[in-house]
Amino acid sequence: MLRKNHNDKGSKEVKKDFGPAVQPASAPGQKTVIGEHISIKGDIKGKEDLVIQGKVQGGIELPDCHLTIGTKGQVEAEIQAANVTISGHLVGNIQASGKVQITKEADFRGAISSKSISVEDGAFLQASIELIKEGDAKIKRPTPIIAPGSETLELGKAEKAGA
Amino acid sequence: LLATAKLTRAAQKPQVIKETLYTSIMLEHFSDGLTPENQVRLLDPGPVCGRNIEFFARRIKRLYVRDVFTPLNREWDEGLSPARLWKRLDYPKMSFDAIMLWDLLDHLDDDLAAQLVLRCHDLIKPAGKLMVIAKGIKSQVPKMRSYAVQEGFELVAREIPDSRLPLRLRQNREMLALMQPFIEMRIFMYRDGLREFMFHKNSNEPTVLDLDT
Repeated sequence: MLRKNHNDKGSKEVKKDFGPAVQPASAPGQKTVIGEHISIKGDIKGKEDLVIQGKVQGGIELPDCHLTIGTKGQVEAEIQAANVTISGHLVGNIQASGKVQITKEADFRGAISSKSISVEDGAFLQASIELIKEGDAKIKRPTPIIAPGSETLELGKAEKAGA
Repeated sequence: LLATAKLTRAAQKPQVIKETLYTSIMLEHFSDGLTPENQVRLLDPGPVCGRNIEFFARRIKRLYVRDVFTPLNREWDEGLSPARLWKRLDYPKMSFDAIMLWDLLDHLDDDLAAQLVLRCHDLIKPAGKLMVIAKGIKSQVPKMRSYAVQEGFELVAREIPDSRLPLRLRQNREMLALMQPFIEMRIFMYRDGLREFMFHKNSNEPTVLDLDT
């Protein structure tokens, strides 16, 4: 955005306005990026889109927003979001009121409950998938089945958490 | 320099993935009764195929995708002996109403194939269905194929480019012997020798196989 500098009325000079350092969190189209060299342990809640390229362990609640796990993202989390795109490594369960997209770079272990799903061939999945049909009251918490003493311990943890 | 240039060109040449399309009679039978209302749970232990996930997830209660092909392929590459297949399918007994084994048995030796069949028998509920696709005995397709569901129960068979698991084709009698724990329902054979089998588990049969011990 460009605007005139009103402190110098005689001048025709136009300066760039970079805006305030911190934008309102609910600004439409706003998104936060957790960079490759950032690690977070704990819960994340928010009302804007989130892109994770770093490491996150905990819960993620973005009920009206889009969560993207980038190709370098490594996430262990219970996720609740409107839409989710997975291109990185995710162990955990997803509840999405909209769409879950899994790209061919993804490595996902866990359970998905969503309205729709798309998966690219070549992705690595150890997953259970339940699509919520029209008329269902709300997105249910994923209820996968998992054996005790699972070889894939991380999956066991993730799926048990959703049971 | 010329040799290097040729090698570079070869490396850059895109891989041609051979595809064949056919209408699967068995898929239509298999899909009968797969409805969300019936609370159907289906397991696909083959390579991940987006079309199939979308197709089945819309039709059933819950779809389980557990790709055993990728780790087996990797272990083969690294010269490792494959881990026991039942460990890769670590679900409780009688978890599923149906299981699909599409092309997977053709790339497992007799020991691994028998392990997989026994594990599937253990995982299927009484009266549950097992759908098997196997290449023709004279098949010239050495690579593993994935079968992607299209409209009208058509299947597109695609070679998986980085598949290196060896081919172990079986005659019909060998297939039926391998699948002995199950009851045979139907077999369809196609022009190129491709076979589709449907088996089910005896509805009165208690689960006596215990592979966990």
